[in-house]
Amino acid sequence: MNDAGRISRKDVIEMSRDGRVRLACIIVVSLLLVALGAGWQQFRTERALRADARAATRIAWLTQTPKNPHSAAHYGIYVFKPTLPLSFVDRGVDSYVGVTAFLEAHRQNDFGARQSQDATSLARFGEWTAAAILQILVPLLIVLFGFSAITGERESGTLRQLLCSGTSPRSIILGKASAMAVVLTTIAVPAAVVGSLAMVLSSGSGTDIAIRTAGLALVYLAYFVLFTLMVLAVSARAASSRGALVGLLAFWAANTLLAPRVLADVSRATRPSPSTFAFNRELERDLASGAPAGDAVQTVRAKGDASEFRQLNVRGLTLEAGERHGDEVFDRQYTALHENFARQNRLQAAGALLVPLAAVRALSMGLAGTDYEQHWDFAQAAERYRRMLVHRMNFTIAFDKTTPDGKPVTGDSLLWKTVAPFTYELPTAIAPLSRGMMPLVALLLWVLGAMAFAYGSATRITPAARGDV
Amino acid sequence: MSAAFRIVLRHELALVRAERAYAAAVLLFAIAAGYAAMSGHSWTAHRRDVTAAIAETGAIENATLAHRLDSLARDTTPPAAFGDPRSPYTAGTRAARQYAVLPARSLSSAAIGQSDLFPYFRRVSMISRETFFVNDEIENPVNLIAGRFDLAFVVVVLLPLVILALSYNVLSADRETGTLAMLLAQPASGRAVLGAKVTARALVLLAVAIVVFAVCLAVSGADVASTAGLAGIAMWMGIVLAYSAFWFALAMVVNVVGRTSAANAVVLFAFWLAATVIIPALVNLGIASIHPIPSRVALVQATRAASDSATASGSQLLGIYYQDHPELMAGGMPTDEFGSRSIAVQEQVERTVRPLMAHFQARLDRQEQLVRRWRFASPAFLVHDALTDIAGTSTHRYRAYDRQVDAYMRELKAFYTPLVVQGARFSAQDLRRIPVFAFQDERLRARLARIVPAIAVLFLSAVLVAWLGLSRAARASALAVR
Repeated sequence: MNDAGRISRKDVIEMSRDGRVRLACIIVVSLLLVALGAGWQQFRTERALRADARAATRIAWLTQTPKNPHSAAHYGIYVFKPTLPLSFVDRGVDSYVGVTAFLEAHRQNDFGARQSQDATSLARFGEWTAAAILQILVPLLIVLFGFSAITGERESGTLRQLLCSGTSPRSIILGKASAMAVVLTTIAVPAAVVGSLAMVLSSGSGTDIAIRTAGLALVYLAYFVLFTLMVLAVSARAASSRGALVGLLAFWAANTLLAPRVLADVSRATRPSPSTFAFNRELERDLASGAPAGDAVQTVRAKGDASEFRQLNVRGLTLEAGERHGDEVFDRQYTALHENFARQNRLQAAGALLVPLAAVRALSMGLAGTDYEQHWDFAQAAERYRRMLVHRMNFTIAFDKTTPDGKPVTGDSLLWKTVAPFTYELPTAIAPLSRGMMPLVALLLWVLGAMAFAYGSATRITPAARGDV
Repeated sequence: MSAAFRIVLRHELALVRAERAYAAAVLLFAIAAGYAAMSGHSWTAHRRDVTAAIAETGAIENATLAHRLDSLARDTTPPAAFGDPRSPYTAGTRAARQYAVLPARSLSSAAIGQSDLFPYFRRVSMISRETFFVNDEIENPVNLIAGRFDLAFVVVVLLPLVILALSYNVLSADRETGTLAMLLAQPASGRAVLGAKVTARALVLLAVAIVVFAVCLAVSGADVASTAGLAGIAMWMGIVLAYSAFWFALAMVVNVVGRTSAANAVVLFAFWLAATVIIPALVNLGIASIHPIPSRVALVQATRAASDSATASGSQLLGIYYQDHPELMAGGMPTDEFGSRSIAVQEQVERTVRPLMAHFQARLDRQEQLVRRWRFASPAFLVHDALTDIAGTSTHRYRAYDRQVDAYMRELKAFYTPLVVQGARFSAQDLRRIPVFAFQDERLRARLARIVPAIAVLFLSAVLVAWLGLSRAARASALAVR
């Protein structure tokens, strides 16, 4: 066995005998399992509730009493966000965006019923998901296990012996890194096994889920490798264990606590979002300034084949024209808002070059399917369905040939059935990556940088601290 | 205070002031607090702008409507069902909607709390309080996850780290360099030495902290002119002092019991992690399993079913409604059928939905009660809760605002209903008589009743922990070199 392997084995044995290391590992594993269990439970409950609600809203639509199709468009339907298989690992923005939207004529409603609003202020202190533990606690473990890796050996005198025996400093670092990897594996493996089991039980397996899970595993693996190498590099360069610890804890605190908030502040300051009041007033003003009905009818007539449109019911045309105007306004306003959020998120992704946690968070949310873009994708799908439903109802009035022009039309259950139920398919795992490679690039750069840092720090390993004799 | 204590104290004060690492830690803390104050200042300014815009818009809308009503007053044709503001039903549901604004307290930007999540104004009509396209505060959900860098964050999370950085090696540094044995050889008891060392650090940090926070609170908009404002500042400082005392005491005990500086740092950091991250998460998990977050999905379905059945039996309900409210029939048979029917349907819907809403609300209240009781489990959460309470950005205050908006809606309904049922014509005089929303904030006394126990518990724990440390230190052998 070569030097690195020997050092690795010795360190693993030492750490496994250390009561504090065992305690810390047990605590983290327990917390991970509890988080996975709680997340899975919540996932199953929510999925059942939303499935019921979807069925109920469809039945309510189909069993409407006969009425004017436009009244049916006002009756509308509710849509409920899908519960995604990996959301029990990383909830992402799910608690902060609404779970349901009401689709009706004339209005594009925002998603309502944010779960965070029905939760306590304690939940705001931090949602305890497996992703949070992996992003916050495990790096801390790496710091606590590894800060004295080199400095401890120096202070106890064994470093001098190691170097004198011909071990290269690079082997020392490699050996210590492998030891850390073994310890982290003992933490990660139970959680990974339990997590995969839970997922297969609840949602079955599929290529897409498998790819997403593998992606998540790789992202966190890269994060832990990066942190391990950084901790060892700092330990190699530090003058004392105490100095290494303080420096590494400060980096951890800056990375985990300060960076997300500062990035949010910067993105808000450079790309401010409109206030709710201003947004709504502008929306109302734009909607009110629609084209008058007569012009609208001409517009709709002009857009189609003249002969076909000549026989149309004016009421239907008017409704349709009003709807199209509304659609344009909503598109403009909501797309601008989405673009504002997207620009803020891109800025924060760029911040990942300075702060590795930003990269991991973005990738983790993207792969779990709980990032903001996923919500927007669903919101767009719901909006397309709404427009299809409303246009279908309006065209039924417009093209109705059985009642004379101006008389109200009545629709019945046959008409309601022609509107297909709302279905939504989750985009594949490629989708989050295709939206922006920045987090991935940043993470890779950090891993390479950490490797270079560790490699460079190996040469700084001296048996005596600088300044000592 | 013995002479030995005072001598060691003076000596330690000089040492602490000279130590560059300490100065760096305190400076970083001051910078963080300054940053938080600036960020809070812009938040206050933004909210003030929006509140002013709302007031202005409300006034303009009312004036425009009054003008329109005056010009329509001469028109003797009966008001149309839709769109005509002379119809009280139209006025009550659309034309004359009023704004209900939750005012910010003077320290509201010092602890952002829930104010980036819940709306602080609503446009209220007589049948609904949610007539907006977007009902919630517009904020990027990714930013909501991150949380805010406000003064509360600096106090709850960063201040303990600075305290621990200053005092994690208060004894162990001396033990490791060998000077502790020399100190104890002097006619100074272990207790005096330990006490003086910790007091020196505490004095330096707290002097800086009080000044820094006073400046930052002033920048964030603290109001020194009113009793409530001054009380808020006093409570804030009280919390900071009690919380700091707790962490200094903890550092003291760990140093007495501990060995090396590095080990002390790890143990104290573990305590900090437990207080700020682990215990609140576990308590949250516990509360969520005993009283799970009620799901609005089921509520949405139930409300819709109730609305459907009420709308279907609209005309029947109208008859029942007239029977139930004979006082409204004093002027003879009503003329606004549509408006009266809508009101009757709405009442029926509300009646059906009320037990569901009450049940939902009761579950939310139970959750809040549990949190209120269990906040003592973690000093960090206790302080966070107290600071958001002072700032008026707690869930509690937003729920109180919701209840008052509901009450205001009922007030508006009571105002409009006789007008609708009697088929009266809505005029500019009626517009002037519309009830106006004024938020009733809770009395200062109620707030003190919640916060003073929190401060007391923190101080008592600090005293207890310090006493434990000092009594062990009394045995000089306990401090000896190991």
